[in-house]
Amino acid sequence: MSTFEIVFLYGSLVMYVLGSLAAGAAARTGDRRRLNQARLAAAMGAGYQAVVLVSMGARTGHFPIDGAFEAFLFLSAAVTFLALALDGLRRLSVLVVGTLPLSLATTLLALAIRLTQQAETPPPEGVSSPWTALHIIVALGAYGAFALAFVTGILYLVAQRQLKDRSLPSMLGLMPSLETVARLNIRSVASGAALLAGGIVVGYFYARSLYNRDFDRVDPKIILSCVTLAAYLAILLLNRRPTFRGRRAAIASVLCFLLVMVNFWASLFWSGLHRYR
Amino acid sequence: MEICVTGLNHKAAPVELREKLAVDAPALGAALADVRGALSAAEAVVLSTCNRVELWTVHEEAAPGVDRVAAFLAGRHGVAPDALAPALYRHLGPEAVRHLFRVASGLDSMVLGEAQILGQVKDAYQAAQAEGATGRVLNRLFQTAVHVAGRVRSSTTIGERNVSVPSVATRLAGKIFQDLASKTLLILGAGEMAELAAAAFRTRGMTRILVANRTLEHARELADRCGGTAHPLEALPLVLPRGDVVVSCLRSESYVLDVAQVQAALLVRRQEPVFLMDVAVPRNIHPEVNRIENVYLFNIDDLQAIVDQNVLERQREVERCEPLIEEETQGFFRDFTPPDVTQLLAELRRHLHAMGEEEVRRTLGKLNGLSSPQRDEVAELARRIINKVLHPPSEALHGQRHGTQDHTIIELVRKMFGINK
Repeated sequence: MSTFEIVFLYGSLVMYVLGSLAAGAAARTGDRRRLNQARLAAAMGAGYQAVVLVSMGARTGHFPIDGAFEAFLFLSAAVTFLALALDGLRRLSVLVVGTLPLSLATTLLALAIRLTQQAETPPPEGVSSPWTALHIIVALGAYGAFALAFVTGILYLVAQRQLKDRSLPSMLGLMPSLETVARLNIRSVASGAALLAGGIVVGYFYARSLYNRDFDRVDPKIILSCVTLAAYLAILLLNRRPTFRGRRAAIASVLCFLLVMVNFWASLFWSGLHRYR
Repeated sequence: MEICVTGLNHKAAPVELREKLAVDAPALGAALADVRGALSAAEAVVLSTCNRVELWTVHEEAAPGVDRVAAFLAGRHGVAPDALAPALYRHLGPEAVRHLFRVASGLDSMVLGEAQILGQVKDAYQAAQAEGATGRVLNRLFQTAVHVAGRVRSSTTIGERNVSVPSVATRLAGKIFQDLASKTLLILGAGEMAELAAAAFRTRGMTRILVANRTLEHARELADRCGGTAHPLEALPLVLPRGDVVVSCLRSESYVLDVAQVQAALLVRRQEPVFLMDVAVPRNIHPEVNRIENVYLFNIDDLQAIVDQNVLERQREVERCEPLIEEETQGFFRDFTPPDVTQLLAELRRHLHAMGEEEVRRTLGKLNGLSSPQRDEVAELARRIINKVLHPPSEALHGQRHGTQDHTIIELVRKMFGINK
């Protein structure tokens, strides 16, 4: 990494730390100034990460997301940008409050991977192909949507608990209605499932063309991706039942995010084909 | 010039007194003329609301005493001066300015932080302006007050928390449902509380209203007033599933709604969430109902507790508002007080002559053999040059003396000549 990239990388970390602190204060007090500070920090953090990825791509001359570090960085920026966009479009400021700690955690993971990484190795086979880029972006987009489902699931459960207990701290002031959060949660699940399905299909056909034969290798990452997809499809199916909507759907989307985490884990350590360098 | 406010408000004056002194909009013109005439005011604004009556005046000389204002008000409104005097307050200068900024920001209101007062302050000012009763001072003061109130509201959360039971109730409903206008309100009861609830939810766009009551006639009357439909209480099992928001305010010694009834209604509703508000005492809805999933039950104490908490939060927020008010009060007087040109010119003269004398001393030290008259002539030369240099800026600054409130020229001159404050 160049000095420029390192400065921006740590800059994004600082922004997420500051943003998380401001978001925490906004959640406790409902202070609009703190909320605006959190928004600004989130935008700067995600912007810095985008700069790092673009710079890395320009420097190496190939698609920049070719490792776990870059994937985590992309995921963090994508989730933050998505939350900011939804906040701007639908006035869902609580999403920014909820995603900032997640973005911070993802950035810290990225940094931990970076610091423990050995010397840079050449990119894997076929990484410069536009199909690989599409496969990675669509799959990471799915993970981003699942992360949003996780955040909205948590928010739903917190808001519902506050309403049930009749304890109304200022957090509820930032909260949209339960209906809105529930809809956002299920739409995130649906978007994530569609993107993951798309990512699997693109990956399958590209692998077939790359290896010039029927692609029949059994890879832990592929199996886990299919399991993850099945789990989220199950949420969508179950959500048709009135008794599942709302709380149960929120719990399910929070639990299913564990599968997404395991999926990432598989890429890091178990997978052969998908193992990050 | 002296800014003065004399008035009374809800804190010290009972409503019987306030209503006697109140001035309605059509009578404002006459009231302003009377105030200016009787109190020898150069400018005047009369602020009359439910909770306060205030006379804002500007006087070229000293403002009239509180006794004179009390006598004027007593005579004009037919009130005994003895009853009026103890309730009156009077603020002058910075105190008066600070008071207006607090009033416009809702910090002096009965409901702390309420926004309605700002509109009333604006209306009072515009009415006085239309009557030609305001001038340079009150124009600036009231315009600044509007700006200060806006700043207080945008910089703090003083106005964000609901502090009445109906507003808290509608806000809570908004925390459950995305679009209240598309939901159905079911009111159990047809009394005063039922009417208040109907009015509060109608302001949030709810138009589908069902009223169920023991006496169908009363239910019909309320339903007619709020554009809903009336049902007998016996039909509750049929109407309950239709209500997304249920407000219960029936007089009943036992629970009207229990767990089984609500569960049955939820089955019909396909588990769609329902917000139950039990504002009756004794309570109408069994508290265990809140344990059912997708059911959110609040009783009158829960709502009042939220109101109390919000009032407390607003009171805490006042601490953040006061420094803003203070800063704006100082700023108002700083900008409004004419710059002291005479003092600046004296300082400027002193400063330049001191420099001149220093230079003359240094020069004379180098010139040996000069006689005493010659030495005096050199010193006089320096004085004349300084006076000639000072003449145009002095004239220009004297010209500004009555024409500007702008302190930037004074600051510029200080910087140019290196004069410290």
